[in-house]
Amino acid sequence: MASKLYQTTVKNVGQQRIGSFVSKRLQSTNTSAPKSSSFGKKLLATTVVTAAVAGGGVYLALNDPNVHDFVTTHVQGGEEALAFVKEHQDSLNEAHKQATHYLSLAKDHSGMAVDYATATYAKLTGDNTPSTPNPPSSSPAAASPAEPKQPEQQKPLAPPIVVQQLATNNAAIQELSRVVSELADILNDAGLADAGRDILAKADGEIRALNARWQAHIQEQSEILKAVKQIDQHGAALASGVDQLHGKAHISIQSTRANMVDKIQHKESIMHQDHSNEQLLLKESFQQIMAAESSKLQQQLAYEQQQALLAQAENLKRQFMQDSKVLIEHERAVRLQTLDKVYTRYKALEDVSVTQAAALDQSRRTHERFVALSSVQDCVQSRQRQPFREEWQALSNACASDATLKHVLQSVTRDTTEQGIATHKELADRYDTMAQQVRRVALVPEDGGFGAHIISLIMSKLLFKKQGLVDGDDVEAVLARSSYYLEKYDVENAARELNQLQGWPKRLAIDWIQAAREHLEVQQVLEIVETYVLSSSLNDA
Amino acid sequence: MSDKIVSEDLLSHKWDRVISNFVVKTGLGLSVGIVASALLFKKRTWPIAISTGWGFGVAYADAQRIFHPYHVPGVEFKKEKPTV
Repeated sequence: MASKLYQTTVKNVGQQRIGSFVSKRLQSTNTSAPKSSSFGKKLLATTVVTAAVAGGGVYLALNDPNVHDFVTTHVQGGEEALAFVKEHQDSLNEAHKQATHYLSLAKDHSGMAVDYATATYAKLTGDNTPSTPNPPSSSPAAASPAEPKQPEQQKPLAPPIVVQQLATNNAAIQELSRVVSELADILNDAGLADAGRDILAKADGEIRALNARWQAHIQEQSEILKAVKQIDQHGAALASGVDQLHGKAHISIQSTRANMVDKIQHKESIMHQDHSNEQLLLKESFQQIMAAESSKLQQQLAYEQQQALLAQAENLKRQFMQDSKVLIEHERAVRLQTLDKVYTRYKALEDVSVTQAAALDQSRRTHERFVALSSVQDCVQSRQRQPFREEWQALSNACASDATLKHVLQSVTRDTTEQGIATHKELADRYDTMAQQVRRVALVPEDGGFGAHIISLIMSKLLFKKQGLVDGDDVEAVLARSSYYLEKYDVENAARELNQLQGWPKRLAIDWIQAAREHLEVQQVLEIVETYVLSSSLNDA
Repeated sequence: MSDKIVSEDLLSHKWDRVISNFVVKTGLGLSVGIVASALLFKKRTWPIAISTGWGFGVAYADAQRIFHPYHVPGVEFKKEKPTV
């Protein structure tokens, strides 16, 4: 409000004070020019004018030779334009001709159409107009009459088949012949003699042949009957002769039998007599022999009795000697048995004492191992890192006799024993420094160079620190998990977690992992040895 | 390396070398630049800047090589899983 007032005041004052000279100066002297046309309109106008000039020039050049010369010499693309136009002039002329041709065609057709239309109109209205075109003939032609069918001529009669009937004794053949003749008659009647002539002739011939064969067979049969009769007669004659012979033989046999019977009876009586004579003789001789034999036998018996008595005496003597031997042996065996018993008892005592000694030895050894083991354990579990070489040596000496223990103890290297293992406290302290370094390198990629290291150093300051058992594969999560395990005195899991790192963080953490591994190794070996020693001591007990 | 460096200190050793390298080489570049500018280039400022930059660049390249000794440009080392 105030400014407005001020301004108006200034203006008025200015005009009054400064005067006409200045006010004239202040007013503009330019007349307001009309707004100039825009750039697009100017461009369009220029294009149109140029195209018109060019087209006109080309047209003139085609028609006027002077202009043609001018265009070809002085204008830049004139020659090419003219050549192009000339090329297409011919095609243009062609097109023109074609167009006129089509036009004439069209005219003709239209004229034709008109004529036709007028003609039809005239026809429709009446046949008055003279200028009618020829009507097209369209009446159908008369069909040619069909030829009457010629009656079929009668076929000339064929010569009939002649078949003679056969007179035979055989009924079948007669039947066949009759059938054939009937067929011939039938065919003849029907007038198809030609058709069956050959077949019937063949059949006839075959029947005749059959008849001839049959006749031959009948003849053979009669001849055979005659021969059989003759044989029969011969047979009868033979039979009668045989009967005669039979009767004669019977008579002769009977006569000889009667003769034989007489002869046999005679012979029988003679034999009886001889037999009785011989029996008497045999009896006498038998008696004599028996007497002689019996005396001999008696003598022999006496002799044998003597011999038997002597033998028995001998036997008795022998038996006596045997019995006495057996008794002696028996006594000896008893004495030997007692000796054996004593011997076995002695042996048992020996064994017991030996095993006792072995057991004592074993327990001594176990005790020795236990002592060495506890010394190593004390060393390992001390507050500070201590080398335990001598203690370890003592332990391996004590365990040298047992193969498994020896093998187990070999897994710890000499360097470890010389340097000692890290205590839990030491591992925890070292872990802190290691974790700090690892965090600085956490964001370096696998193939990162110096720049990556610088960036990681800066960006790792922005990372959140995690704690406790968190899930995840990133460096922070791994560090959180392993520190959690380390707090719980679970070195194994802490080392396992750290082993999962990759790349630069792993490279930095590797020594810590190694130290933790050695720590774990020695602990495990000592545990194994301890259990072994304890179990063996239980065994001994 | 005669002593065995503990792995945690690996990086700090490298950083020591890198930083000392940087200081030395940049200083050398600076001094050479000053001398050259004074003697040859009519006391202009740009040779100093160039020379310092060169020194810095050489120090950077050395740092790259210290931190990544096996890096060959254009070659990618891949860890292959053993196949049976």
